[in-house]
Amino acid sequence: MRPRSTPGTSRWTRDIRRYPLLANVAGLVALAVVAAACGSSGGSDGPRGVTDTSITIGGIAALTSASGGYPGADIGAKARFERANREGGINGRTISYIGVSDDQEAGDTNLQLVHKAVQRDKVFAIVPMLGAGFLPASSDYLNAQKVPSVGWGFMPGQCSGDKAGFAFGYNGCIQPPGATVVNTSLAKPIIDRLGAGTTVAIVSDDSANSTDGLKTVRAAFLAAGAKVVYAKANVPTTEKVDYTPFVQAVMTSDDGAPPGLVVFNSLFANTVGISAGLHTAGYKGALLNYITYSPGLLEGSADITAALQGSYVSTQFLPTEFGGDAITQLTDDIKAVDPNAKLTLGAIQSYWMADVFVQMLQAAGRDLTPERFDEVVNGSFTYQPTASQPGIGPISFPAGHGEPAPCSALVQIEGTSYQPVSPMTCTGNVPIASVPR
Amino acid sequence: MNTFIALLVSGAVSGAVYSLLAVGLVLQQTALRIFNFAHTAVAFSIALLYYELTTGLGWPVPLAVAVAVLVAAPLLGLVVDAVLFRPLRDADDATKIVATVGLLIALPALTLFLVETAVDTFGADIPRGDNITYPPGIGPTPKHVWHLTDWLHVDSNQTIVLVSAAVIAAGLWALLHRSRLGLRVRATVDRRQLAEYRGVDTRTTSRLVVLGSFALAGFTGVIGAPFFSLTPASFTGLVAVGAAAAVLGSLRSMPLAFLGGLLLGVAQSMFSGYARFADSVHGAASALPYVLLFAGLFYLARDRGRIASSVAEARLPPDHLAGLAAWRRYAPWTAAALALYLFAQFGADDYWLTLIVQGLAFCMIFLSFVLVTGLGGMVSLAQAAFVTFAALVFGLCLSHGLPFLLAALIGVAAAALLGAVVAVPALRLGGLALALATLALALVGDTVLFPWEALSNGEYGWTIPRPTLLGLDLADDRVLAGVLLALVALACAAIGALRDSPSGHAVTAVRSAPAAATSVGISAAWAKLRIFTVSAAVAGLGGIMLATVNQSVSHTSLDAMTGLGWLAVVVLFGIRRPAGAVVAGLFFAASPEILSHVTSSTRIRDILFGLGAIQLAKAPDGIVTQISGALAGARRRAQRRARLDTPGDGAGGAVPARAPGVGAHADGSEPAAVGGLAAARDLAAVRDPEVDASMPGDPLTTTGPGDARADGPAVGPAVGPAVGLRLRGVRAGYGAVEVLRGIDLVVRRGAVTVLLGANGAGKSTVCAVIAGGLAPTAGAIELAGADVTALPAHRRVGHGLAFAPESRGVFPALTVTENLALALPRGVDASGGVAAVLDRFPALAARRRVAAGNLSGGEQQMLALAPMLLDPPRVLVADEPCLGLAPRISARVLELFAELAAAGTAVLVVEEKARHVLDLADEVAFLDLGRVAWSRAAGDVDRDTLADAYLTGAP
Repeated sequence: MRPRSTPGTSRWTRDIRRYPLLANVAGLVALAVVAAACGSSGGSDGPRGVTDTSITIGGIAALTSASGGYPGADIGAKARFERANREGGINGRTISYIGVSDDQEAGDTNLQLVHKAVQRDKVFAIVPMLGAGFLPASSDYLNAQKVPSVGWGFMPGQCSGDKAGFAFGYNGCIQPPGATVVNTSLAKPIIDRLGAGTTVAIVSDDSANSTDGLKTVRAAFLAAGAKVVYAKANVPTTEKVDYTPFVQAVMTSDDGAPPGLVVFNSLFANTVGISAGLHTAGYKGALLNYITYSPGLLEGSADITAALQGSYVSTQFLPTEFGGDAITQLTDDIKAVDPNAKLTLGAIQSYWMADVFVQMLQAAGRDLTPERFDEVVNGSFTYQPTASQPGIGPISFPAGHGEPAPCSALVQIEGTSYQPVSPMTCTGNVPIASVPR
Repeated sequence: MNTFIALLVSGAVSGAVYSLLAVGLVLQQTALRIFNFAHTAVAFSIALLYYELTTGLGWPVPLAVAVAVLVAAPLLGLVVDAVLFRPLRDADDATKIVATVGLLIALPALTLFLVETAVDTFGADIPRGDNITYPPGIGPTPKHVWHLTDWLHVDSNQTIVLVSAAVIAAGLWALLHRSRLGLRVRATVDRRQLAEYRGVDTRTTSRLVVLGSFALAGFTGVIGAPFFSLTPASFTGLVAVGAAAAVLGSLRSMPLAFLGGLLLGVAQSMFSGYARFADSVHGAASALPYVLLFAGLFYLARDRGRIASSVAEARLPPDHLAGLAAWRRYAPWTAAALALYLFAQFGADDYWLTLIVQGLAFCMIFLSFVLVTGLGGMVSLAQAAFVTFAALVFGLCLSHGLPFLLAALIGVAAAALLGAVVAVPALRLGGLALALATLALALVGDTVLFPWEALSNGEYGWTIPRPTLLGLDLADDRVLAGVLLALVALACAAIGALRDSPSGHAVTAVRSAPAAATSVGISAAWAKLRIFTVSAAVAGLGGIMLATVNQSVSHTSLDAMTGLGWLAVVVLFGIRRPAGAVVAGLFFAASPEILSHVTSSTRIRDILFGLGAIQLAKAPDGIVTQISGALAGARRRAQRRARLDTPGDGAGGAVPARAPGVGAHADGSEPAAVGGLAAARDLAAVRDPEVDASMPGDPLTTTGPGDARADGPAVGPAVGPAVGLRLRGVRAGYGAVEVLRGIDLVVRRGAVTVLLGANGAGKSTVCAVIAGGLAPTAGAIELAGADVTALPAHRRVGHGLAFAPESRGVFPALTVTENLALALPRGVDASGGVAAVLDRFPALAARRRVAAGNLSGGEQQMLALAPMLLDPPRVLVADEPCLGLAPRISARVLELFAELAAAGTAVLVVEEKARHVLDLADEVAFLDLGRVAWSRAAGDVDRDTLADAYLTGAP
């Protein structure tokens, strides 16, 4: 790009003839025009993604990711929407479901897919929006474009608090901004089982996010009547080869003795690693975590299964092991789409996300626009689970942007299976400030 | 106390894994001069293969270990050695770092792609490669636990790691210090060229090191995998931990690196167990290894000037457009920019428009790579950190109500400051240290700095409203596209101006000829610091642009590894010039969309970009320059045709194809400090066929075969075995600079021939050509009648050649005994031979365990020549053997030559000064301007002849 005088300049006319630069430029311009012609698909009337007879919906999920992601997340939502179509659609429209794109749990990929879904595919909504790739850049954009999405409620966008944005969590917002409210069912069912006064150690990751989580979980156990003897957010989230320091700390946390219950508010690897360490160190008390319910997990690895033996797992949806109306319906719907589909964590959750969204669409009515959707759902809307057997808890919006659904179910790992302990139980939310220290 | 011991034991287990990684890194760093950032990627790939073989296919453990570690890992090593390490051997630091970083990105993606293809396309019944936490190791599953006491428990996986580490460490030490192979490896590490002259096949030796270190990496992965998730992310993060351990071992010493790994593991364990303050500083425990990596680098900086790394001089980028008028250089890019602008304004739909504005933000970020790497020759792995830091500071300022432009300015300044803070200490240590320090910074940023609530506003980050500036409403993507395009164009122009400024010249000078630059008063560190800081600022500006485009920034948007991926993309398109970065930025933003039409695999992008960076090993200038080169080639061919069409017009025509370096110099834009030798090396490295083709037509260099001097040495009837060494019409040089222009020389057996010549006559080049260090472009070299022209240096030893290079033929890091053992001719019993030499040279015997580097000059020369007496070589070539020696010692050296000649050796002594050697000589030849000017019997040479020769070049 540096100017330079050269003897060649005197013959520039012939150069042009021989190296048709102008032709190149013309070609580029032509390319631009062609691309323009292809690109600008004539503007449609009415709101994005809504016609008289259909609503276009897409999904974005971490179908794959380094940490496993949510395979099957494409099947669950599709199954639920297809059932809605079989039942005659929603307010006279069928759902045109264009499928789930894989963001690999990466923020930049998620944003690119969000742009594509809105600008190219012209979707009305994105369901599911599942995975840690849904960063503020994506949720801010979807708010600006007024595109609703339903996800898991652990990302900032779904916890928009008073701003009541277009991103919804199927279970509300699990970890409200500033740790204001806590779902008591994170602790109540297990403490009811183990007895009030049980000593509890809470293990948490060494990150700002986990610190807020730690406050929330601690408040839940205090509210349930437990005695919290250890609560630290100090387990590294990077490569950690051994967990001895944390195991040692927990094993002596109750005045030199082990606590009655160890609760994990940590990444999968840390949860499994420290659980294994506690077993090795001869820990005999109870273990509880919120993340290791994942059908297929226990058949996969003998070491993981050994590490998690006896652990309780608290979930925000009803594990399929409970059976019953909701589970039968879910299973039937998914089999209708793919008879060989596995009931994975991704499939189950994306199914419930779609279930919540179907109710939202029904509430928004026939005159469907993003503004109308916002007015109705962020005005006053409550998702009602199956009456005979809740698959997930009820959740109201706009409150759900700042608080979780106050319910959870409990299973216990025995061998390679999850044994039902207590079904979806709703014990309510309480403000953290009101919990005695 | 119990806690302490338990922490110690558990820390030692993590430490053992780190140690094995560090040892592998140091082994490659010392033996290959390559810091293999992809070391842990190899560990990941082999561990994944092992997992698929055992868990997926149900193979028995020993068979799977053997196939994965002893077959697959070395095979992978062979491939990597051939396509990456060998072509990179003489490359500069930046090239090596970038290429191995590319491998770090590509290899795990490629492995996962293969597994996924096997599952999805071929229906293999094996687990997909994602989400493997705590895979089984080589021990029992589930693992066995031994309860040693109430409070101390060790499981089978831990035991395996500890025992393996100890066995491998001891085995490696024994291999290196107690075996012939180890001796050869250490000789190669010490002085590669000399090792070749001593008959060591360094290519094979290096390849064995690669195979060994890949097997080691694979084994580390297999036994380490049970302790953490088998994911690319966790393994790529480990490279920084391994590097920290290696740095604690100075990046040189394997035992120290091993110890460093153990210390690191124990420190981590103790920190988690005892450090209370860590509870309040989030990420402190996670960041510990990275902080130690920093600390280690600073410690080294205090300790020593520079971390051992290659000091190869950087090549200048080829300028295929050097012969073109200014408007021809700019026109295509101006047209492209115009087309992009028109497309953005009138053509693009919303989606393409979004991709374009994002791409333009990436252009700015990628231009920062052009500055730091393309211009400055440094590799920064922290560009993503500068991007994030600037954008967070920008968002923080906006949230406090500062005006948009002021907030942006503060953000840019913050990035520049952060850049300076890292660069100041690291720059003194050279390119590798800077790369490691920036990697550490990026990881510390990820774990501690950026999640800091006050800076980042937690997980929510900052919302960035787009303002209206100077009447331009940036909320409109089309307006924003125009503004960003203008900014990128400005930045390109500014980079061009910077390159042509005194600062730019200083950096170019420092890169291509550090010593020369220093000698003319250019401060390398200061010049580089300025470029690095400006680059950090530009990255910061890019970050602010990206945040503005996305209207949002959070500390989770980018991570350190993103920065490595960016580096690979820019390199793929060309990191030397702004144009490459601009194309890279646009392509990067559009690539998911473009690739989605080609493949459904999400791995392809990483594979493509990573392999692109590896491609750098062969073509360092990226796609854009290669296309430019191809077009330039077409242009030249067309011009040639045009000249044929219109005879007589050629003389005034554009300068035809020049070799890259020459082109750059010819246009006068490169600084004077880049001397002729640097240019020569540029050319040696880049063999442009156009140059070779044009040579014969160049009147300056044309010398027909019949031009040999009539009074040259007898070249005629074969003299049979009496001739020890013969050179026939040998031409050689460095690229386009021909140094030897038809050398004919005969050295008879049993005689001493002295080759004299003034400084610059080509004496050392003659030696290098004979010894095999430099391939001649024409002519032949015969040893005792056998044509060895095509043989590499180490195989000429087998033909009876011994070479004593100018700078003493000893390996300074090896002991006297080891030097002797290596130098002894084949067939001589090592221990007996060493004893025989030591008997004869009592001075050496007294210092047999001393490293040769600590001997005096005379002792070193004795050490180099003594072994030859045991079994005199057919030919001995000595390059200035008496340089720097006291007269008494010189006399002893010359006596040795006489003794060898008496034993039948053909001795060629190459000297600048005739005084020492004429008494010894049987024949004297005089080298002048790359030719043997005359040659005659020593008796016929008197002072006047010599004086004439030195003063006039004539006999």
